[in-house]
Amino acid sequence: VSAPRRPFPELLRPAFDAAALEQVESNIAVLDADGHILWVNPAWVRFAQENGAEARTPEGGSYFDAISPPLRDFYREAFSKALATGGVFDQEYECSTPDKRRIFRLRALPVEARALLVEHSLVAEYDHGEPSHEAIAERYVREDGTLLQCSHCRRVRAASTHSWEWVRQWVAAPHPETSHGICPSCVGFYWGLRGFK
Amino acid sequence: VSPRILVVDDDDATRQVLVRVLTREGFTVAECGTRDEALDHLRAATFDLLLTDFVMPRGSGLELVAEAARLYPALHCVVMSGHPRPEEASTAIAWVEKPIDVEQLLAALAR
Repeated sequence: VSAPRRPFPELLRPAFDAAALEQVESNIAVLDADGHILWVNPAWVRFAQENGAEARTPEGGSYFDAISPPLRDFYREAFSKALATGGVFDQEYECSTPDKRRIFRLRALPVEARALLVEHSLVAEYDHGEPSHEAIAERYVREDGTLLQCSHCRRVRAASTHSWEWVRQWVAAPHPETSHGICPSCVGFYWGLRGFK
Repeated sequence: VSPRILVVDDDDATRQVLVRVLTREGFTVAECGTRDEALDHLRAATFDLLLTDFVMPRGSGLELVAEAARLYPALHCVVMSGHPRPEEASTAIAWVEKPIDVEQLLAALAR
């Protein structure tokens, strides 16, 4: 049973229509300057429940706890910059399931340098139309039965060509014989640019 | 004397990253890509720590840890994986999530 939701933050009342935000289909959270979740709308709660993320994004908890550790600093910095400058952070990203390809857009709107209204909106959702399981296995699974997946971006390395590609089924839940590595792009970005300063 | 650590991972890039991070942190690092190579290293030199991937071709990290613990009871073992800890893995084995967070990794090694 979900805990009762918190009241709409007074800080937002002069500018935002609480009832309207309650009813929209996009997932909305209001964060304080440190990233603590002050309020979420019903769509946020539904999405969390449907995707098994309810315990990671409670009101009062930290928004960043639901983000994988290597990405946390990126979003902390982006949100801090939005708060400091009054600018909007805007990003499109993929959050697919084994059945559906889903593209979302994230916008973080600063509110008087004291809070952020974070909105995740569905941009597109459609069935994958995946190749057969056998065809996927033949392309990615190595002779010993294991496969290599980038632990950062979740792309899987093709067994023969060594190209890194997204395999929808293994983004949400890895193949049981997945060995996790790091693709060249992620080595450069997460460990070259960010990890060795 | 700096602690000696053996890094075992079938992914070259991950090994290179770990060697750089751990060397910077003052460890003396050796590395290899399979369970059998790791056992060769352990036979050839003394190590304080074993840091191994979980899923690898030709022998898993848990198999390596079990063998290493039998042969070298003083060796401390840490397993890295993008998978959650399986039920058969002893809770005495430190488990570090991939993608690797350096602070979490160093904390596990410090324990």
